[in-house]
Amino acid sequence: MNNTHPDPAEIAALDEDLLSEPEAEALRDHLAGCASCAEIHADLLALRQELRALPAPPIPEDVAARIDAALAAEAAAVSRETEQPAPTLMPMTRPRWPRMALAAVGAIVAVGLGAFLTQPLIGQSTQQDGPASAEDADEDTAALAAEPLADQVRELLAETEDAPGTLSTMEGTEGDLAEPSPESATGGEEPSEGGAEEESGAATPQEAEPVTDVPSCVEDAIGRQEAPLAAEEEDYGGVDAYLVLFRHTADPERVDAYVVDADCVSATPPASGEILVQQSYPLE
Amino acid sequence: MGRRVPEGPAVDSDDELLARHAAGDPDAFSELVRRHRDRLWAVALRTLGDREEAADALQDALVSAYRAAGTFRGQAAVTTWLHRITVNACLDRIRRANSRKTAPMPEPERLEDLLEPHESAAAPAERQDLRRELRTALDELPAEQRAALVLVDMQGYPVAEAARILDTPVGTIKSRCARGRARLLPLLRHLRPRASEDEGSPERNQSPDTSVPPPRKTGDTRRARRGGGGSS
Repeated sequence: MNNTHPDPAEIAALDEDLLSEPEAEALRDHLAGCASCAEIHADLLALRQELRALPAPPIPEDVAARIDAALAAEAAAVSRETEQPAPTLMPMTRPRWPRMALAAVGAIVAVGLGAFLTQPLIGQSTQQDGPASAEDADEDTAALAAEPLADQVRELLAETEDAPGTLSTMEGTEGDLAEPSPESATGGEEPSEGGAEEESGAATPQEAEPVTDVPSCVEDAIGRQEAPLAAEEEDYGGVDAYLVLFRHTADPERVDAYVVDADCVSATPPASGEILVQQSYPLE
Repeated sequence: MGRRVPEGPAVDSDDELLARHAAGDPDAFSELVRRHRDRLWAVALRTLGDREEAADALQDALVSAYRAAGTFRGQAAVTTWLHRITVNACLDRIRRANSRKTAPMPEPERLEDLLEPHESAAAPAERQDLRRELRTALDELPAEQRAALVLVDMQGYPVAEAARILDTPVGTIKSRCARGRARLLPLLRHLRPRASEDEGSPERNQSPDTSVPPPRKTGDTRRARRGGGGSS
């Protein structure tokens, strides 16, 4: 018998065939000769049986009724919309491309590209072939939904803020800068992350996703007059929402992040959106 | 085809119901929901550990599925898809709550709600204790581990199905389950102590990357031993 016992996690891993054959064999040998580890092994099985045996109550009446009502309301909203060609049944997790991108984002793009374009193209492509591209391919919306808000905010900032000082350059420029050129609206298609072939122009941001127009009902919900620093349509665990960032009202070192339910986009009669989360984050 | 659901006069398959819904049939989606809501509810409730949160999450998920039905392309089974949307809605709520930090975790007494009334009345006290403690301990697991355990160990879905629901490799699900079980284990042993437990047991190999607490060797265990000696 050994002097050391395997960690219970390792014994649990054995049951899931997670160990290499030599490891598994060594562990089986140990279990065969060690009563206390064999007991752990047996307890792991008992635990699974206990978990399986926990009672699963059926959906309570009130919850079922609530959900039925929500779906009925949804049905009513959709049927009213079907008279006009409505975009609301379309995929909600894909960012919509800007019909008219924010002036503020244009500013960020313009400023950001200054730094961006001075990098050699080769540098860009290696940078962009990083881990992000590999993961984005198959994780897409699930990954988005999986990120804590703080990370999403950080990423959105990073994407829109290539050059240090971008945010401070924003001061007083809202609306002053040109609209982003139409190339940035490359129609429905999500850019592949490896899109280093950006010679197409000064208006294409490194990653165009954050450049999302903010529907007026979302703006209304937030109720701030200035243009946002950045905005992005996000899937919040199945809830279509907008993540919109503003400079913090008091602290220049922070940003205010709003997550607004995108429901309002299709609401009839027009209604302002519901703020799901409002939180400020430090700029780093 | 697909007439294998033995309920009601119109026994369309899930796919047919979803297709009918996408084509504008006003009743199809409700029927789909009725068919699966108990299971989806169990998943939401167990993943979130809080009745109101679970109700919100399930409602969000189903409304979102209602709208997104047109984008369902049949790569997965409809149930898988519904479960995925539901679990994502739950995990997202957990993350939002964590990032807000202010959101209260479920009150201990509310966990009682998770047991069916008749169940709590009928089950022997010890079993109730165990179940309550399991529920509490589950709530303390990392959300991803808990979601895997809910699907595999509690709901009894095959690992491969859990992997599809969570959009995660099978090996990851297995590893989350294994680590989750190992973390719950001390609790089970604590509540059902055995004669051979602890006394002078040699050090366990702690692999540095697992977050499994070592087996309890403290006064807790000793206190819990009362029933364990010869009687049970």
